[in-house]
Amino acid sequence: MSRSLKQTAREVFTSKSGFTALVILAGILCLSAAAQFYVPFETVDKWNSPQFWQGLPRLAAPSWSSLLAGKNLPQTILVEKMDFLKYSYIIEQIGVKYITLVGQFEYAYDGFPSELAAVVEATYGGDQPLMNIRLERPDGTNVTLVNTAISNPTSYLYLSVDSETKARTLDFLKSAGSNEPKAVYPEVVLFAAKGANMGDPSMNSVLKGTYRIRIDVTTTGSRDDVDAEFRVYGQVYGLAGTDSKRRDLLVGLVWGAPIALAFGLSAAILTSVFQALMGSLSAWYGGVVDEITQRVTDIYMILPFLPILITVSVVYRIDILTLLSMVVILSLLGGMTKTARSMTLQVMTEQYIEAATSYGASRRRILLYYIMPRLVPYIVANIVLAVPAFVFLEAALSLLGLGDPRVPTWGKIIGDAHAGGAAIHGLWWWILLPSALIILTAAAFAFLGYALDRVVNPRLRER
Amino acid sequence: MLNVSSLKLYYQVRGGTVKAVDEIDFNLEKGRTVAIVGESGCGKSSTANAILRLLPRNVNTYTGKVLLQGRDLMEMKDDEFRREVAWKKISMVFQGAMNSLNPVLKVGDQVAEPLIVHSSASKAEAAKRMSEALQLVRLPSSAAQRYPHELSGGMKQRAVIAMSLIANPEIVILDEPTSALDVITQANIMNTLKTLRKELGLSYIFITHDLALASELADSLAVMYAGKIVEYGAAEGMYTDPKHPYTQKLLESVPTLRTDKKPGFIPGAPPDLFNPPAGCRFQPRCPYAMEVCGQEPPAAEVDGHRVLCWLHAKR
Repeated sequence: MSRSLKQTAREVFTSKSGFTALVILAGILCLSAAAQFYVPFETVDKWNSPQFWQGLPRLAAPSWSSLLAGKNLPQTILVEKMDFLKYSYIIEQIGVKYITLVGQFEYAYDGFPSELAAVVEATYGGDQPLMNIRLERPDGTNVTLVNTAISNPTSYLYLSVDSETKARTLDFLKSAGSNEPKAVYPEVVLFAAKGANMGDPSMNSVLKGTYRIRIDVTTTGSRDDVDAEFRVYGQVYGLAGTDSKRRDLLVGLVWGAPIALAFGLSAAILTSVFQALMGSLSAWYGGVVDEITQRVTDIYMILPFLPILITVSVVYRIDILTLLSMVVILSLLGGMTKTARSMTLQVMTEQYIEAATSYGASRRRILLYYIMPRLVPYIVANIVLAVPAFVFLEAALSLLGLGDPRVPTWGKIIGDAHAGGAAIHGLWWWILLPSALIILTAAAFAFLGYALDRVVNPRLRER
Repeated sequence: MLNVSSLKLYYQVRGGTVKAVDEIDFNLEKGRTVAIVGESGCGKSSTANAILRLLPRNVNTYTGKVLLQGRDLMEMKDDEFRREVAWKKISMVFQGAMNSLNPVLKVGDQVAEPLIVHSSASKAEAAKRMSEALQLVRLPSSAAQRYPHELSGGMKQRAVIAMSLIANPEIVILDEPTSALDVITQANIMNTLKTLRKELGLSYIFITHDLALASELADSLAVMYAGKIVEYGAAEGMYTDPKHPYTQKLLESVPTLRTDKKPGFIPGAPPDLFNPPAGCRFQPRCPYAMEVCGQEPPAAEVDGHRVLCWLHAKR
């Protein structure tokens, strides 16, 4: 009991489980710290804004899955505005302006892109300009993807699902002498080597080389202008992949760390300390106080925790702070109250308590300075063991859709994965990465708990 | 200076009362020591607790007079007592110094604690008084920065004595102050206590079961048996010429070093305070028991001793 903090820390650190725990926790803390520096909070703020994540592929696996697959899976290629070469000339007699944008990119991956898209920004005064987008493949064939009028100042052309593009791709497929597949995927066909099975992603092969994208615009105003961006979305992205809303999961996972730690730690500290305080108070003041505290604790302990939380979060929109306070309020009294009470009953019979009474220390002072410090090691152990429980709780609530919708937490990501059918579609990274982090965090605190338990609970220190 | 008369402290337990302290009287002069001796469970510590008002929750009766310099402490309110008497006039060294110190307080803070809780001194002054107190009990000043578990048993005991002196009390109750110490340390502590008594003019109420130890310090002796003081008088006479059969037996039971005399013993066991024998409580174990002993013995003055025994009663 009367061991110093330093000694305790050393003993925890030298035990195997304590060391493991500290290593994991250091990792998670580094992750939390990295979150502050490398992923600015604005990024997290935009977690739910679809615009922000436009440039990322949908449902992309982590980049390092290329290593697992043993082939070079495609990254996203963005041909940006400034990458396009722009030519324009005006024929004044007929009042027509021709603008040509030419961009090119190297495609050397072993897989097909996941999507194709173009963004065309046009400024025009009179009639809608006409636009023709053409892809020039390394084998010399050209395919027109779109030939249409520009109807918006900014048009997003999702070429992979565009019916015109699909029809034109099918024509190209036929002219190239391929069998007609059941479904046409422009992003596959356009990047496939010519052959009989050009349209079948499982049988064709990738045509590697330099692709050029050419956009011809015909417009009537001499001051009209056009800029474009061409996106060849890949199959892999970043360290943690993306989800169905193109969000970089790394951002969510990295920011989930401080949120999980903050939630777990503050819930565990608040509930453990308050429960212990109430238990001590109950034993120390005794009588009616004791009776009432203990009976209320009994009621608290049989309170159906989850149903109440679910009810409340169905009725009110819950954010993470409300959730935290709900959890704390629902665990103000509990197991630690009982433990602390029985420990206080033991401590308060000791001589130094009687001595303190005799020299006139107030009852409150005795409780706070004489009794509570004796419970600290147990409170700490309890906090450490309660953290994983609260991390799991937050994850479970998020999974049930009761979490804070605005903040990405690990549980929320798993919840999204569940909703997005990640398990059925084999999107392993979407489920496994947040799960692994939750388990790792919980394990770290559990290990730390065991190590601490060994130190503060001398009967376990035999071996 | 301190005059205790008819002090009673009964505890309520399931099914009855325990008469732990039953109408005791004694007197303490300035600079003097009264030793309260007796077997375990005879009410010695309860007497101390009754004087310092350290009462458990199950007190049944708590009456009598405790006059301190003419003022009846029993008539004071609890907080008045705590403010004016506890530690400032009467302090206490508890049985088992090992457990009398808060394990999470540094010794220095612990020694100063009585001043701090009454906020009767500024922090700086408390620190000064604390180092003075440590000096008085011959503890190195470095001990102030240590935790109790880092001190030896003797040092802890000195710290506890220092704590009892911090508010300049006039009376110190020493409840078995050396019970858990080895003989050498015990002798050291006893010498320190003697010096302190002389230097500070302290009065002691010295509670012990050890008659030899009591003889070191005591000016007068109160022999307690089953909640009553059966013999009370000057210490010298008590050792050479005990009057009460219990005192005689108690002295006989002390082994001697140089004679062949076998130490005597008292047959039977101390009575159940829950249900004490009628009349003289020593009567079931007394070799001189008579019929009249079934009645409450009167106090008799014999050679300056007050004896509670029918043998000495004037009939």
